[in-house]
Order: sequence, then C-alpha cells, then structure tokens
Amino acid sequence: MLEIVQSQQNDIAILSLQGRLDTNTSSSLETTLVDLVEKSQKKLLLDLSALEFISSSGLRVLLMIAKRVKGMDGKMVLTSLKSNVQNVFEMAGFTMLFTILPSNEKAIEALQ
Amino acid sequence: MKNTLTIHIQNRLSELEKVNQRLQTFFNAHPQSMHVRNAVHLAIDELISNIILHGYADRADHQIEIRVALVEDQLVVKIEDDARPFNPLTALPADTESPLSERPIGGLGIHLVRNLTDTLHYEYRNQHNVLTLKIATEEP
Repeated sequence: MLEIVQSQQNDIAILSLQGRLDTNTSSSLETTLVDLVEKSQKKLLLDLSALEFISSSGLRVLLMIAKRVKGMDGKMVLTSLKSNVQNVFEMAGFTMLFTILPSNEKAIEALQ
Repeated sequence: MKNTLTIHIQNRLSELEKVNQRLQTFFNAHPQSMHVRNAVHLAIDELISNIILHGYADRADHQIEIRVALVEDQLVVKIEDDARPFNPLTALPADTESPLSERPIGGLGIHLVRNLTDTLHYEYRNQHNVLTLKIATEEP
C-alpha cells in the first residue's frame, strides 16, 4: 500500500508518501510525478517521513524524475527519511544525487 | 511458533503482498531489529520481482517457494523457482557513483541484495534455481 497526499504551497508541489514504495506501488508514484513534470512543475518536495519501505523500483522512479526535473532547470528536495530508507539510499549511492533535508520547513526555504 | 516460515506463491506480482504479510506475522512471533527486518523484506521483494518479471519465457503459472528459517544467530532465506537459470552472483556491479546526468536507471535490485546479505549461495539443480541468503541477526 502506498498513499500519496498532494498539496501545493505557492509554486512548490508537496507530495507526502505513506506506506511502501515497492514493485507494486511505484507505478502510481511514477504516474503522479510524470504528470506534475509534464505540467512543468519545477519545484517538488517529497515528504518521506511516513515512508516505511523502499525497493529498487522506488529508487528507479525517483532517479528518472530527478533527471527530468534537472533537465527543465527545476529542483526536487526529499525530507525526513526513516533510517531504513536512508540506508537503502546510501547503498545505492543516491545520497549524492538528491538534496535530503530534515524537515519540510527547511525544504521550502531551500526551494524558494 | 515454529522457527521456519514456508510460503508458496504463483508468479504474479500481486502475490508479493501475501509474502509481505506472512513475513510480518513471522517477525511478530520472532522479533528482529528494524535493520534485519528491512533487509529480509527488501531482499525477498527484489529477488521475487526479478524472477516474476524476467524469469519466465512462457505465460504459464509457475510456483515459487520461499523459506525463512531462524537458525541460531542467522536468518536463512531460501528461494526456489523453475524460471530460467539465473545466478545473481554473476550480475554486473551497479553504478553507484556517477553524477545524476550519467547515472543509469535501473539495475540496483541485485546490488541491494548483495549489500543486504552476509552470504549468498546459488545453485541450479533439478531444473530449479536455488538461492540461499544468510543475514546475521542482532538485538531487536
């Protein structure tokens, strides 16, 4: 199960992910993010504080979107990774690819 | 509760939910640290989705067996399937260092499995892939 709660704060799209980002659920995140990118949404904040689990299919979606966001001169920030999610990011060498911040407030500051 | 869990699933991704629930029940009876639970969940998720998505040349139903056993200070996971022979130990290493623009998309599943497990043993016998993973337990 993955729940995606989407909101907008000025020009920043905020997505809060809750549950599991795995082989079965990553396509729903992909659809949501591709839709935003295609509408030229340049600033994305992904709140991962309630994300319990991530697999390589979730990493795949995040990497693909990060490339597209960079390609349109946008910015994506991830916040509040749980320790097991952080650990998977480290194993995959993803911490060097993403801006990861401890709170949404800090992320909004960084995106403005 | 026994120290062994055996799960039989069909080669459909929807079956992963069943695997996830059975693992949760097993870990409720045999508490493990967050790190160890995540390692077992993730390794199984990666390997089973690989088998289902890439392993079969036909569209027939196939059975996959997953056994999890708590043996002293190790969790031993054995996965047996009749998909085409595939030894994850021979998969090419993943690129985990290139910058964003050059980083290839995909190929991280097996890399994660190798990083999560202490030992990984593969054999092909009786037309079946048999993969055994060992993960050291720690204080929950």
